Amino acid sequence: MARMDDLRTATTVTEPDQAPGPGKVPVDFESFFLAHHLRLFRALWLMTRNRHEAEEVMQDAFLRVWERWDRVATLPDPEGYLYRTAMNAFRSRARRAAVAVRKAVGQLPADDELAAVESREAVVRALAPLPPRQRAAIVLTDVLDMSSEEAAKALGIKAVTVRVLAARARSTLKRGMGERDD
Amino acid sequence: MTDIRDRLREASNLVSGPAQPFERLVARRDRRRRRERIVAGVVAMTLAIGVLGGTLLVLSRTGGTHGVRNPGSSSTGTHGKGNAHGSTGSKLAGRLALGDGQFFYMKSTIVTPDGNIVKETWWASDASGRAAFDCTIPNCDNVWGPGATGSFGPGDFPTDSDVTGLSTDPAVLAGQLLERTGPAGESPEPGQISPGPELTPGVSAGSEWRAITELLRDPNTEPDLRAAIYQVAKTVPGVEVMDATTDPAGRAGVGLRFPYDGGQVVEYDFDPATLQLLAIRSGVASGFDTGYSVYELGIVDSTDHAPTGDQWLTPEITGPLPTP
Repeated sequence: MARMDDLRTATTVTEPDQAPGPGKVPVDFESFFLAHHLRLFRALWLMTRNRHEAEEVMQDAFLRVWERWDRVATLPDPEGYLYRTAMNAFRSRARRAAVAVRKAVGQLPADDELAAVESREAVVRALAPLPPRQRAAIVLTDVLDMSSEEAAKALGIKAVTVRVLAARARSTLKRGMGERDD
Repeated sequence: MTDIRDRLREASNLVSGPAQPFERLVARRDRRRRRERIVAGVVAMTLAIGVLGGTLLVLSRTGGTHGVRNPGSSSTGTHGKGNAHGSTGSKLAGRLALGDGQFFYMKSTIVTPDGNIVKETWWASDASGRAAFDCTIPNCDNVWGPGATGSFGPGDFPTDSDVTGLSTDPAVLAGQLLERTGPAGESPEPGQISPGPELTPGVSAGSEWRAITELLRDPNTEPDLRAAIYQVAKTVPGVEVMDATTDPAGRAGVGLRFPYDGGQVVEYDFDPATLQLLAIRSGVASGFDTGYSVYELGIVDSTDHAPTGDQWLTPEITGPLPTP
């Protein structure tokens, strides 16, 4: 067999929509950032379980949006664009590998806040063993209240896949919390 | 037990936001811009020196009467979009550019001792298109996983990375790839087993090579960008340029090899005229015996069919492929 890096499968990272929205009044980027950064950061924190990593992904996503702001501001749903960009970054195979290396060599600081929150909320502990896609699906649908169609768009997968992933995640979370509550 | 949804929301609200987030974003943007400028300057200067040195060398050896022999090895640092060859550059650039209503067709066939995996994609610049997948490996879903299939509207084509900002000018592209590959870039590459020399902080020749070759497998890397990627790839330190190769399907090409530690060799073969990927094969220095993949590329006007005639950018494979 050939090397694994030569024989990789295609993943399903999708670029955000490009179509501009007619008559949309652009807002300035800073206002957009201030309006959305905390919500995105918290969602990413649940997905990555590390505030440093969450902030990196958030900043990368906002930076990419900022670089294209003249176009993004006129889109019908700039927030959707932001979340798709952030999910692309979160799911990037290369980024995950780089983060893993940094964690392994101790370059990525530990998240002290995570331990504090975990001690109060068993659900955060129970998130740990979930695969990244399941974690993303349940955070987008249950925490950010996205419909499965909206979450699907953000993740570049089908709505039915989001529903399956979120259902599996819920089931694992319930099981994990039950075991810990016992 | 409290509802999972409520508990997740409560948990997320316990997390404090980052300090001075906008100021940090501005600082990050400024750092990135500075780095881009520096890298682009260094690469441009290096290429310019290389072009000058190469030109002087060729002139001194030939008396200035002959062109560069190998089309793939001609420097394109001063060429425009997608130029790969001296006087035929603009013609080739036109041929490689994807127009409105056109699709970049890529067929990859991965040949293993157990069977083949065939992926076909038709990609349009608005990120629409079609994908088809066929696998003859036993238990393929578990061994390989499901491939992308179906038709996709604008923006919906599943891709691995965003390459829209990448230049088809090799001199500019070289700087962009270094920046993109770096730890803070869009596509940071993990530490490599065979890193080779460090090109910029955090970017080794091995990681740069890997980033480049990943792009070649992406269906959204359009032909003009592919030609530029070839030009950059052959300048990566450690890469061996092979003037004449024959790919597993019997097609003549030019090759690039990156030597991995432990004697592992991965060779990429390219069409000498269009600089489009023909094949990837790996093995040890004594021979390629571990499987390979071959590529057939072209530009078509519809997602209904493969290229025909002049639409091919690589020779079509018509015969059976050898079993590894």
